[in-house]
Amino acid sequence: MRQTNILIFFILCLAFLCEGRVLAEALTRDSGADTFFRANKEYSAGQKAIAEKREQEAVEKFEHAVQLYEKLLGSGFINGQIYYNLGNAYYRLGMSGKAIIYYRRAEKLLPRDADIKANINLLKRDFEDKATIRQLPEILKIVSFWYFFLNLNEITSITIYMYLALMVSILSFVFIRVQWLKNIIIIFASCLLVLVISLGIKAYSQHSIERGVVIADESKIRYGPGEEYEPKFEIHEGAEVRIEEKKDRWYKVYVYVDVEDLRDDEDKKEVEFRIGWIPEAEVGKI
Amino acid sequence: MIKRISSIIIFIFMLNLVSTAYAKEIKVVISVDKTVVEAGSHFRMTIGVQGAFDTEVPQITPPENFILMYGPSVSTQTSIVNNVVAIFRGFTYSFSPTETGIFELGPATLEYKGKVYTSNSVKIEVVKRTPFEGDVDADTERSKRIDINKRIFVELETDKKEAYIYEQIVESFKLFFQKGLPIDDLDYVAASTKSFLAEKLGEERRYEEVRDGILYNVIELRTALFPLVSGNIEIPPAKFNCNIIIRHQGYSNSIFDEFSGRGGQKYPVERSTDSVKLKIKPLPESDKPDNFAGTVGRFTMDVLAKPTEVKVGDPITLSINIRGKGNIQTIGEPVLAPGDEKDFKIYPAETDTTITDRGDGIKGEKLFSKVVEPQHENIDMIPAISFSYFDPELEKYMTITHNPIPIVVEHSEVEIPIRFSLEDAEKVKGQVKILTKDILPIMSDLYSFKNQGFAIYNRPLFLAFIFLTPILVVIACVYVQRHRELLQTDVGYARKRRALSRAKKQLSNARRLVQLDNPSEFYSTLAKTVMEHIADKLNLAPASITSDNISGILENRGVSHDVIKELKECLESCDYGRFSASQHSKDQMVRTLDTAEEFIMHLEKQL
Repeated sequence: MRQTNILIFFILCLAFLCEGRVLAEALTRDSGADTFFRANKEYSAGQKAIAEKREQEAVEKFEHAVQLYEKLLGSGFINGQIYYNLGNAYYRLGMSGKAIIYYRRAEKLLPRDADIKANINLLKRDFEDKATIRQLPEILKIVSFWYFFLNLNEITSITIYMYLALMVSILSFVFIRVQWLKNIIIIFASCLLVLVISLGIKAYSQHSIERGVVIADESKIRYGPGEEYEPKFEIHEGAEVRIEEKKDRWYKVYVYVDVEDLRDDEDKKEVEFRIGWIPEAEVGKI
Repeated sequence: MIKRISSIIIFIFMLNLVSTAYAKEIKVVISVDKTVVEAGSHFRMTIGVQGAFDTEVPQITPPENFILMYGPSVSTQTSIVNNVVAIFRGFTYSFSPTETGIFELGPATLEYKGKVYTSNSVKIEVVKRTPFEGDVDADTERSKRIDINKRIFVELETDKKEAYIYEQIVESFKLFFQKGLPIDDLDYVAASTKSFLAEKLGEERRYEEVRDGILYNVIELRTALFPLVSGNIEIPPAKFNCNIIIRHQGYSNSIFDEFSGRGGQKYPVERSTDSVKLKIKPLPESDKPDNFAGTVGRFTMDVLAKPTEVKVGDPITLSINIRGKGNIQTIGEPVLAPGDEKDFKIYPAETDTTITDRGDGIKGEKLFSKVVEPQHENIDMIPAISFSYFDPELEKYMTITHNPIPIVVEHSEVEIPIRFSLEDAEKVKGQVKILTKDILPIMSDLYSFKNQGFAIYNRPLFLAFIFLTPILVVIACVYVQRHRELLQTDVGYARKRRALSRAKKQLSNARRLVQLDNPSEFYSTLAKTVMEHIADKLNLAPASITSDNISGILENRGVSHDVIKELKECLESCDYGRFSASQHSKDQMVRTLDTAEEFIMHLEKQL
């Protein structure tokens, strides 16, 4: 009897905590949705102003929309739609570099959304520097579809569910020793292994590798972290880079753009040549 | 009473039948089962009287050399088809001709209610009888074939040989088979009608007909054909297959003499008709009305407009019903007399076709429901509606015109939407050119709008809880399950695990004996408890442990000397208590009990 009471108490506490969390999230969501709605309205008004050739008004509307989106993100409310819309608003304000940053952020959260990819491709066509990010073979994308189809949170959730399913199977096997349960355990364990590996790779690529986008109209890549170093080459707004190190107010970056003097047969040299230093202010982190 | 009423009803019914039959014309027909007969063999002749059942036997004078074998055998048939009562009375005779030649049988005469009715006559050819022996005569085979062809044959005919394009032609396929001929598995392959639009006419018709003196059952299938092209067109032959059922009897002169019942062998028969040649004329070009849309036949037109009092822009439904004989499906839409285009907004008509009669040709109606919307209040009538068709019987075009329908149109407050001209739609089609390149619109899906900032993978405590809890649960479950299995399978383990609880229970019994002041029983129980506990812990039989060997056993198991000493003291006290005659105080018993408890607890720790 006493044990039952403890169990009921424990369940009630858990339910209360969950309910509280859900309520808190609902409240945050409602206020977030309100701001989001207002920002979208501003954006639409700006769009309408463009169509009616009222350019000054359009700029004001887009700037206001940007403020609202930024405010929403600043309050800790993160959503792929906000990033995407913010990217659009920056694009309308003529800041393609920033637009790419937010599209890339949106892409991380909404990997299945085709609109984001379409906009990135559209913007990239107009950039001065030709991007050289290697595209993965299509077959690899098909075979490991979940990796490209799901965001990090989704993969984590599925991994947790798979782990729990495995544990339940093992638990069942402890009490019911049947062969098919053994097979299920093997299947779940294999899936879990694949998921854990995918999760590791994805988490590493998204968090351990820092990426950025050049937001200045043009930026000189130098041999060292300072103006005193000679410039190596020049890249332009929208060029994507991998940030490898930070020193003072300078980033050591690897650039993903075509460089004129590179020789294709000397990979090592190419890597060395693509690396350089860029002022922190001229790069926005993804 | 009920019986009387029933009788009256039956009488009235019969009277009705009689009166119906009397109303019909009396007809007398002679028929035979074969027209070619061998001398000496038999043939049957039936004088059928149609339309009356209370007649006398018709009078007939057969040729002198026809010997009457039996007759007349009288039979009566009544059939009701489409509420029309048909009465047939048959008088059957059997004759056996004795001489060869051609003889005329009939006519028969019947006097009925003062009138004399005369029948047809039938020619009978009497041939020489074929002998039993000898070779098969080719002529005999031929005669058999002739006989078969006479007993079952098909015909294809049309109601006209010359027609206009789109005019209705009724094609009839007729199957004739001699009455009483058992046939089965009827299969009709219709003639191909590629150049026609074909429409089946009603159900098959069944009736009787006398041809060359032989009575046939006829099955008629009819189709309405509407020629689609002009010129000389040939309807190819139609085919018919069936099985004739023959019951075998010993020797017989003719194969058809064996036809006398069912369940015999089936003989397949295939028949095909002759082709039918038709001359299809094109419609005349002269006097062709402008609104003629290819309708051929004979038609009438009714028009109904509803409502007739409307506001500007409100719909008026025109129900135009074209009714008549011809191809109903292809009736063209009647047209409104041309007026000002701005007067009405006219919508395409919806049609509903109904075929009302398929008896002697396709008859039916086509309803055109057309919606018109008056566009201003100055309109006072719907223009005249006209419909043109070609009448093949009169061989000229006809135009039916319905007078303009008066309507009242009131002013409406509602604005009529702008009607876009279709002229712009005539632009040249080509490849679509991209005018501008722009980003895709913003997202505004509030349904999936939630905070994605909560990164599960970034919560180590949460993940540790999620991943460790199930592992701990699994470990616990494995332990519990193993414990349960050992308790069931390992006796030593089970005794060891249960030893303490068992000892405690027995010690509480001993404590109860102290309260009862029963020393002998107390010491006995205590000694037994201690010894059994040791036996349980070491998985030994209780009988194998004695006071003498217990110390050695415990020493071997690594039990400390202090504990063994405690045991010895305890056992000595028990022995003393059990076997000495002196009185034992309660205190002594309690001390011994405490010593035993301490020993058990110490032993629990060391074993």
